[in-house]
Amino acid sequence: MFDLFGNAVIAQTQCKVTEQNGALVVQTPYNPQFVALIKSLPASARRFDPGNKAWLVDTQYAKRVRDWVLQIYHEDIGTIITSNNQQQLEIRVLDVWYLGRTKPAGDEYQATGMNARKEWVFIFPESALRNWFEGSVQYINTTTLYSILGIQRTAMDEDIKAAYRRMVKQWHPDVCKEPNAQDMFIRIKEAYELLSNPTKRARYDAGLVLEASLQQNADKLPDITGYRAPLRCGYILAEGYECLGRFYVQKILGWEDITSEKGTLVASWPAGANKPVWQWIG
Amino acid sequence: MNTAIIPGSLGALAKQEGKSLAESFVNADLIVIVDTSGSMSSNDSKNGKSRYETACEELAALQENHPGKIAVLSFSNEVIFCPSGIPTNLGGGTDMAKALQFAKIADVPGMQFILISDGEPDDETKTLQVARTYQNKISTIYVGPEERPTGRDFLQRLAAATGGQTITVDRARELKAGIEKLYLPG
Repeated sequence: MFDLFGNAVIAQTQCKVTEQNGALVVQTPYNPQFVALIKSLPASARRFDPGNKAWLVDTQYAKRVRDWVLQIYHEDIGTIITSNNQQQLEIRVLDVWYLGRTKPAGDEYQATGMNARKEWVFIFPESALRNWFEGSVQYINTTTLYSILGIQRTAMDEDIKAAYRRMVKQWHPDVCKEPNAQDMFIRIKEAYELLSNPTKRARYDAGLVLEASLQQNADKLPDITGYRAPLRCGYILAEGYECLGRFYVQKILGWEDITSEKGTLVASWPAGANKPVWQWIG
Repeated sequence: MNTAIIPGSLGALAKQEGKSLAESFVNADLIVIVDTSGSMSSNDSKNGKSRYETACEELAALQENHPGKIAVLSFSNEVIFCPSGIPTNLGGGTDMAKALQFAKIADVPGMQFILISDGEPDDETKTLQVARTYQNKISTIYVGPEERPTGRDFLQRLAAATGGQTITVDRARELKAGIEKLYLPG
């Protein structure tokens, strides 16, 4: 290939894709089509790094990135070899100041959590939240009275009482501004009334199993369409890994209220507001 | 498949109150386990109806009289919880042991069990073994023809094994009255 003056032109590569800290660093000239393709990935799987003017992309999308570079820039960047130890699991205490509803993200549903600096940096798969609030055996798809109180089905009487006190505090309509705070407050009271009565609880547990048997007969898949954890904030002890500057939770190990000398933190998102509100209650 | 919901059934109550079936089940105090094996399709009940059809009608009237108190299970080779109040017509064998094993989950304080059948179980020994694990009594209702009481003897033994009572309701004709004779609403 020659330029206008007859000099040989060596084809210059415009695109560079490398792997750093478990993420693909994609550096290309600006192209709106390419940006649109990258943005078609789940939000949790890509992030723009303005400092390096590069897209950070989850390594699981390496093949797609390669195909898109070929399609838009006509450059074959070759097979992107990603290291296997990129997702090293670690245990951290996450200061989650607001946790949203789970939404579709690739093959699963995920909720995003905000830290104290109001950055959405925590990713919770729906399965991890459900495992924590509903136990490893998920009998039914709908919200159970146990999950309303945020307790396991094996909870002892004192756990139920403690959970009730905690939830009533978190969901009191005078404090919590979530649109369903009033309904949730009533459900918390109903859940406590039933689960704190051993006879009613035994029947309810039997009912859960019978209800679940219907789903088995219908051969239904679990309904994962937007799970909402009963708590919106907390210090969450979690096992997971960091990628793209976010912490991806694999398993929740503990969940404590955020407290300070001002009291306990209640986070809620009022209807129509563009951000959550926080209140400390004594 | 019949998708109707019987008024007074657990499904109807759950729908009416906007609650889950599990929550509706909290107020139930009677589990009716209905044999829907092939023999229940014999058209020898009232007005030329099958024992199964008559049993469905009788159970519907019963649930209307006792809203939210009765959970219906249907069994043959399989066992199905029927919150609509209509026992699913399964056909096939009479795996009573499996039915009792399934219903055992509801063997909680204050629960009553009534098993309705017109025949003998596939495995008598196993059925009695499971029945003996129950905390509550299991009463039985024989709904086969009185002149050919095949299986009635076994149902008597089953009820006796748990301290329950047994009655005969010829071809399910007066099943509602029969159940009400055994059932003590809590």
